Amino acid sequence: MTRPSATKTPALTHDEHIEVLSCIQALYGCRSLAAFPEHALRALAALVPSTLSAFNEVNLRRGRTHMIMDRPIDHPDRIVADWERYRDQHPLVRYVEETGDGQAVKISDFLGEMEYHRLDIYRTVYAPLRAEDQMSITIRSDGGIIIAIAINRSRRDFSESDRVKLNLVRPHLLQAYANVEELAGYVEEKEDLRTALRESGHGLIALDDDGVVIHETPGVGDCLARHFPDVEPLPRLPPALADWLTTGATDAFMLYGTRTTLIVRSPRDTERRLLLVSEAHAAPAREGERLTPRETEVLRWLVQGKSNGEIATILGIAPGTAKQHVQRILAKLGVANRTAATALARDRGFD
Amino acid sequence: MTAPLSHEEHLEVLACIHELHRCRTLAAFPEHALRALATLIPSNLSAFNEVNMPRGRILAITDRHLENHEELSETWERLSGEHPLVRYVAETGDGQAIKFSDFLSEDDYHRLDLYRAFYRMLDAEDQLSVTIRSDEGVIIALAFNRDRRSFTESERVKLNLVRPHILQAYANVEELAGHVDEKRDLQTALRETGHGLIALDRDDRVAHATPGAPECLTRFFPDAAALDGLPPALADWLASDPTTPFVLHGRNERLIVRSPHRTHRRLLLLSEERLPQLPDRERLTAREVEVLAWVAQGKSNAAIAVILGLAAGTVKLHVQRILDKLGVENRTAATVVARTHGLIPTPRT
Repeated sequence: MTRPSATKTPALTHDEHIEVLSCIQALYGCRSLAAFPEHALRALAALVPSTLSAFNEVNLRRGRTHMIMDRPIDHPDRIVADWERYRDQHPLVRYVEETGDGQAVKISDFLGEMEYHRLDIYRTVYAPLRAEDQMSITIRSDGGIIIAIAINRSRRDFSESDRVKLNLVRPHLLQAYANVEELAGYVEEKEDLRTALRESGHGLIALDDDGVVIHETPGVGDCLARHFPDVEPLPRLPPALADWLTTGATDAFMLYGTRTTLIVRSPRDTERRLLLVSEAHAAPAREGERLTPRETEVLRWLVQGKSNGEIATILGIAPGTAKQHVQRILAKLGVANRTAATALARDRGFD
Repeated sequence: MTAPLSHEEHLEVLACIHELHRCRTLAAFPEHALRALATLIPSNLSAFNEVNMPRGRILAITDRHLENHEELSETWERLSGEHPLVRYVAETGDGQAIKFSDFLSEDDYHRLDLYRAFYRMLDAEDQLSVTIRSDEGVIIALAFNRDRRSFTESERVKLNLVRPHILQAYANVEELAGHVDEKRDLQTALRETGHGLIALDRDDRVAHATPGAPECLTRFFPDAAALDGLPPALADWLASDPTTPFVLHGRNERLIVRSPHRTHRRLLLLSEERLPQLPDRERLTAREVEVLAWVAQGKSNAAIAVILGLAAGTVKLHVQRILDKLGVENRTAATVVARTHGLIPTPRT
């Protein structure tokens, strides 16, 4: 299937070129993949006016077409279904499928008015939409998927200038789409990583060289605010954390609260200063029987299976003191022995 | 009076704009932009300059290598107060294309110290420049230098037409760079927590993964590399109940996989734990495992005796033997070791 050779391509005027440039600028201004179709249709509408334009993704293998249109139409489901049914009759889809050429083509390049009107796709789809001619450019055509923009008019009045304009815009449409796809990939990937980090029980704060917060994961600000209720919220770091950072931050920063313990770590040798924020349940006891920070610490080791003697060594206290702590913990938790204390602590999220 | 461009000149402008938007990294943008503009505005030296007015500093990236680059920068910084274009931008905030010859006659220009100590060394008899950013005393501008006063009004028009696209392309690549850096930080953080991530698309194929995560999976599922999709055991787990972690024990380590909920995506959060050496691990009898399970629940010997219908003394004997076999001192330590080695199920958290 070949396209009848068009008349000599005309040169655009300076003013027409200015229109092309502002259309292109609008295209590159789009930052979201989801918004791209409507964004592109709006940008093109100013350049090549139409009665109806659509951003189409045609999956040739699955026989499914996704159309985004610049205005509402009656019975869109039926229209799309009929379009899909008679797609083989569409001269522009056939042309792209056979040649892979994505330049601007119009139905009137291929079919006389009479021939066009005899097609089922005209009678069921284009006649109700008052689309007497269509000019389209293809953005992508690979792996059986065609992405194209179709511009419809109620008369056969597309000019060669319209074609030139669309062909000039086309490489920019491709580039802008590829750029926004890349951006969307990063946005998705970041969201996945944030979900994973939350699942691992951590929040993240990234700082620049001056200690200014560049980004943080959702919820980490609230977490800090719970532990530091009286200081300014992020992006300001709590002074205690800022001090800890200036002194090297080699050991983890621990803040024992009544219900939870805040733990902040800053890994070494990273591109940026990163703060990993997590919380451990510090008080598995019932209300009114809260463990003291020291008891919490002892319980932490007890849960690891350490003996009183080992706990004493680790914490630098006398074995008798460790034993006393353990007794008090068991009493507060209302259990008979260390193993039961461990089971209870784990049940309540102490790990 | 601005001169209209011809169709062919406009095509050059469009090609330049396309090239600008092909740049994908912030670090490469200055050189990329200079290259993209080289055909449109030929010059004998072009530069992408970041001028910090309050600090009196310039960071210049030039399209060709200059000997004594640092020395030149210092000279420029010392005399920048004389620079007519910098002064104009600082005063007006206008970033359109302007040139020396708009402000100074040749004689006036040649009398400047800035010319005698700096621009004369570079054969820069005229300079055409556009500013793409000017805020908080920081000016980012592109400057094109020629050895003659030969810039045309068409070239000014071209540069002014391209200017908003340089701004746009720079803003886009800045945004992209922000995402790239943030992604790197999140990956680093996740690695620091001892986790790897594999994200699957709708067809359970890897959409993206943190470095090392696919290799980790292959270590535990040696056949996985040859598979198109997931190892069957993991696929089954995902299909049944991914709210409970998937645990796979290797010889000296175990793999824990969780699947946090995320719409449209399946995520596999991997962590690998090295197990301490466990002597005589295989020799725990079925009865001992049963006793151990109750020990882990915090039951006393007497309670276990009742549950299992044994004499209290027998239970005590069992427990002692378990502690010996696991090489630990007390019941709690036995529980920890048993759990990490998968001898008894890990409780849900």
